[in-house]
Amino acid sequence: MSWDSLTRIDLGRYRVLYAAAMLLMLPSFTWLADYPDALYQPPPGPFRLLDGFPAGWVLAGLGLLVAVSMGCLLAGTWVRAASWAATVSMLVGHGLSYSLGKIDHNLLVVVTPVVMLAAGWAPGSLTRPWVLRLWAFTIGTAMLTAGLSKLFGGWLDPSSHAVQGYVFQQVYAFDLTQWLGRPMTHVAAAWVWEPMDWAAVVLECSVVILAVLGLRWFRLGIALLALFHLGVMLMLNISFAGSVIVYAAFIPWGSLRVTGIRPTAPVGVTGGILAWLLVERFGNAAELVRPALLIGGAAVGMWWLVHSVSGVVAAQSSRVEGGAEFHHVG
Amino acid sequence: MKSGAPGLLVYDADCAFCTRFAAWSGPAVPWQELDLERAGATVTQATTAAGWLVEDRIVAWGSEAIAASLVQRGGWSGIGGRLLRLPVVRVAADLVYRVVARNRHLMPGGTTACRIKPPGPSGLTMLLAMGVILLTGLAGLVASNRGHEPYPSLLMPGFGSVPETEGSVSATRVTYALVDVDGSTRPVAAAQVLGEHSGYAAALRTLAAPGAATDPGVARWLRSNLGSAGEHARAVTVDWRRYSYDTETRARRDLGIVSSVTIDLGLSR
Repeated sequence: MSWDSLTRIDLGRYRVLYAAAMLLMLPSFTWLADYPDALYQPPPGPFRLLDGFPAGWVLAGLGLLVAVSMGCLLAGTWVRAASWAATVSMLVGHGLSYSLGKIDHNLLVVVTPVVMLAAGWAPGSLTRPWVLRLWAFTIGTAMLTAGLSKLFGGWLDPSSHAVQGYVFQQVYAFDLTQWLGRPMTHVAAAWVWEPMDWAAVVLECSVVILAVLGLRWFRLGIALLALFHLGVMLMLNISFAGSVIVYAAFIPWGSLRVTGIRPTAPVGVTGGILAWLLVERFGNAAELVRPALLIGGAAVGMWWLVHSVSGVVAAQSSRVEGGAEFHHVG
Repeated sequence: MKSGAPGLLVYDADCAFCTRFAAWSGPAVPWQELDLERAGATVTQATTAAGWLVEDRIVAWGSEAIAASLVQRGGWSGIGGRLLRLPVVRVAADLVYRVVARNRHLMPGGTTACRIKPPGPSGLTMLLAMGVILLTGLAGLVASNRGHEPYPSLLMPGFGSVPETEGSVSATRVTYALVDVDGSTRPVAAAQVLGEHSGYAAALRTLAAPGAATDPGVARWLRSNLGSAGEHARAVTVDWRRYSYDTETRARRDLGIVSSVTIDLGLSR
């Protein structure tokens, strides 16, 4: 299975899914306007060019631009401009909010529109398999940075249990007690915790290799990662829903038999503005959408693994049957 | 000749021109519905030329496949198809086919989507691009480990070192307190100090930044967040307190304050 097996229908449907998910989790940046400039401490990068947070109307404009861009991506209109606008506005908005000292690692989901534009998610454009291949490698490299950090942080030391330690931290130091966090603190057996440390490091370090091997192998990697992210949410209450959205670019959505109403440009733009107004007034639906995405992603990953394993087993058994028949005839 | 056997024209369903031709020529199947591996073809082949499928193998490509489909159609088309197989005509037909295929988006019924993909970058270029991506990721990791995490950077959360040693987990909790004008202190929730959009860690690090504790803008912002709760307060203290938790009993032990910052609210009397 090669990278060019992903068709423009797959990518087009992914664009709709991406935009829909992002509209439900729209970021808001206007709250930054309340912060005093003395708290503006940007990380090394382009945001050091500014002395403080921009005015409220600039931040509101950024949020509105993200929303309208997502509406256009959903409707499939002005996709080129909308892809660029979405990435640039999210990059700037998040860069400003990270100047308060906490950086969320969401670069992959932020640059997705521009990357997928190059890959061919705009209606009528050509697909470029090599862009998808490089994108898979980029995702693998990002995961490698997490894996190496763990590797050098001593996660493979059998005398200590990193996952157990972080579960305790989340539950007792940060009071994040939803899902399975608290029950897991009652598990003391080393044989439960140590394999989790190893699995996390091995998985995160190997995705880049799987990306080099090809699409089939990379899909194995992202299927396992989807299950891994669900585990992280259940035990640590940390949601990597953005990563699941990014992995979804490699799913052949075109093979699903679906019919739907294609929204027009005015519907997309109006939907985007409406979503922005709702987010500014009531906040986004991320608290509900993130777990749903992680559970959905893990379900797709599990289905893919089962489907692949059953395919391999079926191929093996037919080979054995063929061999037996040959032997019998001979 | 294999391409003379009855078969199906394999076409690209993404191309309207190809679809129209396939519908006219007779039995046909889009490559998207085929098991290409079994048919002995690649996606690149299937998207750049028409094929002739006999049983489950594609036995001819391009002009040869078109000729086979015309012969199968019979009548005048069949004569045309047989002509295309003549040695000299075949060479010319092959050239014409390539030109038509390359410009199929300009043919009747063709759209932008019919365009054949240009070849991607060479293997060496891809290798170089992967090298750049890898180095970018690793450079971000090195910078991050030195305490200067850049943004934007290609990093995923690594968590880093293990917080658990010999059945004990150590972690830092951040606590906030108001210091009233009479010198007494009272605890206060983080959300009350930082505002509703603070997130669990936003502003924490920057509150400890040089100059923040004495900045009049920070004092004003804190007073505005605190509202009536901060009426008698002259300062806000933020303590980073270390605790250890026993993994067997889950008992907590206070290891003391590791860092603290006091922000004057400008109401000292």
